[in-house]
Amino acid sequence: MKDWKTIAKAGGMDIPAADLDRLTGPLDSLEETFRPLVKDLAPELEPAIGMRLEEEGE
Amino acid sequence: MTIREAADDLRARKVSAGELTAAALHRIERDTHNTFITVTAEHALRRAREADAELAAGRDRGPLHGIPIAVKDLFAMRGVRTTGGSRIHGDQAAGYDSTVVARLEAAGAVILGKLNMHELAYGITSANPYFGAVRNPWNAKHSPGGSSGGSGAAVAAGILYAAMGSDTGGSIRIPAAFCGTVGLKPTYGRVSRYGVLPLSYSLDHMGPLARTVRDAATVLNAIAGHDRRDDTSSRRAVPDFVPRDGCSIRGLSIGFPLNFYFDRMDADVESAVRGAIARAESLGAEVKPVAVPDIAALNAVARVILLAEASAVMEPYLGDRTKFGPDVLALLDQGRLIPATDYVNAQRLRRKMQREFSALWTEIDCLITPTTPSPAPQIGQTTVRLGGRDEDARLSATRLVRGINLLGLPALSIPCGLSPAGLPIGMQIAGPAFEEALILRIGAALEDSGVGIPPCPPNS
Repeated sequence: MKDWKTIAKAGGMDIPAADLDRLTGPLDSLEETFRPLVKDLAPELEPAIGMRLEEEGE
Repeated sequence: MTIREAADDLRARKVSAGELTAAALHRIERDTHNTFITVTAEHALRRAREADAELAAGRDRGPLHGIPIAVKDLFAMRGVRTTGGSRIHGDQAAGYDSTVVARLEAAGAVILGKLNMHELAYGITSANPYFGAVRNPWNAKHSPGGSSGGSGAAVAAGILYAAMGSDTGGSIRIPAAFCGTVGLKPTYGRVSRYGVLPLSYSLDHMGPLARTVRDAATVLNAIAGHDRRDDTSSRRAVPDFVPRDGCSIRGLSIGFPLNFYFDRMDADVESAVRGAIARAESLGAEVKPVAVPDIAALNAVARVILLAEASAVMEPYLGDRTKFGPDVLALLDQGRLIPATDYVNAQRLRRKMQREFSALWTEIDCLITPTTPSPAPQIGQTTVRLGGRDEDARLSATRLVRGINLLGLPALSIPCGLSPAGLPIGMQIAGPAFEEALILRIGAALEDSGVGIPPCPPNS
């Protein structure tokens, strides 16, 4: 599991220690489900977000 | 009384828009469920007088003409503060109308004000730390759900004919289920997000809560359609969404999920939803058991996107942590810790999952599930016990609805029963993209056949 407290500190986030303690459980739980999904992503799979420039001039 | 009945009475001159509006304002004054943040009485009475004058002059704007409704307090309304249920915006009033408000008023609706909600639409309790907790009209000790809790409670309490909500991870469908109203989350892009305080740009959907399926469809008719001020707005043609009287679902294929949706489920909820599915079968629909893609994975991907986008939206305000309630602040802190790579990969997974899920629509016309795994928890209750284990109340309430936001699909929640404790139970009808008319027809046919609940008793 990630060390969320170290990540927060390294990112310069001003999150009080007591609040940080409350974050690790939910983030660990999410990470447990999310991380395995990412492993098999094909490089050509693009994100479901994008610009549609052809419509901007309308 | 429904929108249709009120509209008929208006045209028969049995009642005026002014009288409907004055009666609704009177109900707001007596409201014990804390459903409103701002009441725009003067504006509403003026609009009602204009509506009456127009009808008298032969100008009829359609079924919403003169009908009192209200909007969740994240829709901009010219000259009226939009708080988002938060302290961060102060009493700032927009100098413009959101597209939804503009379209509702163009359709003749009389907007009574701005409804209470979960702080920043980021939660499901509507126990707002600044404007007070919204209470469930069926039992004031219970939560109305959220984040559109004021919308659900005001409609259920009979204060309003319909209300606008927003849905990022279930925030229309959850209060609809908990309060016993109809709630519709349209397809992403069907209803403009312009002028609505964002929570998550790629997950936010705007839609109505109403007393009946046809009333929800009537509101959708008014607000749907392309808006060049919203880059994600669809150019799809807008059909008439209101189901015909006596509409049929004979021959439709209704998917009954074999996996996930009935796991860890309150027995009364399961029984009510299975009963409604059996009713659909008796009406001539084919009920087809189907294996659905990994919904737990959908939910995880949706949560990564929501956490990251919401924290990005709120980043400018996070310098003052005292301006957020503890539950919202915890989520915003979590979102700041999501790496950019995870956000991008979540959006890539989203595309993959959308493709996987779209294959389902070659087998079935719609999917019917419970909306929530249990009826409304009590105000302040943080866990619910399901399947022999305690589950976080927020994650439980969103478990069956959040994934649909990731896919952008339309989904309707309709009431389908009451628990032994007298709390409403909701069922969800989800369909292919831009097939709102189909899921509304299914909902209306079920409603016509008797699936539903009696009106909420006063002063519960």
